[in-house]
Amino acid sequence: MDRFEERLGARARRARQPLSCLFEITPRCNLRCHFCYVALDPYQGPYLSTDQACRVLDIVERTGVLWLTLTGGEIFSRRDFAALYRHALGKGFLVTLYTNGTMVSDEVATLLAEHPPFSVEVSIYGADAEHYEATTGVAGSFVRFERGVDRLRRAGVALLMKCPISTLSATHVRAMVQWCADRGLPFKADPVIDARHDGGQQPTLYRIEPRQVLALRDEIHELRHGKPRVAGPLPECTVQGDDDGPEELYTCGAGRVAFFVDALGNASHCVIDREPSFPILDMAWDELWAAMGQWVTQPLPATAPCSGCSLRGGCSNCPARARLATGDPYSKDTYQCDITHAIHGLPPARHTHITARPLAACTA
Amino acid sequence: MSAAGWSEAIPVKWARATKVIARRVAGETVLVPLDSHASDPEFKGARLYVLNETGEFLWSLLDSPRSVTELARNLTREFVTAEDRAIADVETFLVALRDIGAVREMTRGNGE
Repeated sequence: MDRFEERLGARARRARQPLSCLFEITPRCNLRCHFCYVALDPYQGPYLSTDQACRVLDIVERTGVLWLTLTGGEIFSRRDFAALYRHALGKGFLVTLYTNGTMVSDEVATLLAEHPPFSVEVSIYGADAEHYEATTGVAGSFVRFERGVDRLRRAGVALLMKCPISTLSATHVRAMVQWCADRGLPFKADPVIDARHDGGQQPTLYRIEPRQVLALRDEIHELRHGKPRVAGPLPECTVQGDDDGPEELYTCGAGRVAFFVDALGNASHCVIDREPSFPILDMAWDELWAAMGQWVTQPLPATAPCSGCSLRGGCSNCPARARLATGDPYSKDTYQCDITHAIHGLPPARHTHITARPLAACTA
Repeated sequence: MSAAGWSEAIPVKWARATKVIARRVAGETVLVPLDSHASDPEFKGARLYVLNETGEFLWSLLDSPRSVTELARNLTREFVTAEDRAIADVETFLVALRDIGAVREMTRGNGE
């Protein structure tokens, strides 16, 4: 016996063996965050029933996935959450839950205390009602958030507080770090706001400037660790390209060791770029996985603006973000490119022949 | 836990515990404690265990209660190993699995 993670990750990547799955069990949410990337209409569907969602979990288990994350929308808005959760645990997944925390009832807390998840990641948008609700757009949501986090703490689950840094919260980071420190909770910031997965650009209105991303990253590190941060690339994707070479379309783990399933049962390589997608309940897994692999491992065209770029392996630009920003996965998201150049102390790249999408692109 | 050669008088038997699930992941057998939680939620760190070939063989036998002697005897049939070494290996394996809650000792009182 030895430690699993230390030994198997690289081998799984070489073999294109899925190890993790992000499963969006619902697009429905009780909050109205201005920069949410979820574009599925909460009132349409039909979304996966309890039985269908359990069948998805059965399929995911057979693929060999070990790390399963349930996300939304807000996961606790599903009335059958307990059934899905128990089904997932019974399959032997290490289950992580993404939640905004505002719907953590006593019943949910008891469930999680008795059947602990691998971890729970709670979004934090502010350390007081004014800042929090400026993002969520729902009066009274901060009180429910605080109450939910307290219940999760009492349940004894492993908690991580995550903050998407936006123009609404960028000047409030110190207070959020302190709010978490007062409760003994780890804090993680994501300074990059993505467009909606259907290409809608409204969330990008709330992005902070690339140079501010760097300043905040350093400030947060110093607040958390009491010492300046050593320079390095953004930890955008946990699995970076190595011996597969940087000139394939995707350099991260998308479609290689990880995949995504939406609330309609469509599987794709990535949560923010959902094309191509495949119906996981109606398609043979081997066929689905092969098709997904063809997409992510295709060569990056030599004419692509990022082709040959020495920064590409550690850049937070990717085909997903390029498609969201321009409609073309072979192009680039200039915002991400500017961040990467700033990280490396370089002047911004010249963005020639890049046409950004209009604000209302692809929205219904 | 000990075994006196092949002739244990009152053999203690061992079986899989219900708090651990064995998963086949990337061609290997991984033992996942049901109450496994992230030691570091930011980096998803967890203590998981992968069985080697011998471990997988012994784990397959533990689908029903077995004594150290039975397990060791099967081990010598399947792998080239001496009796004493097989018993020592089985004991080491069972102690390691007991410590992570993957197996439990069956007593005569619980019907085994």
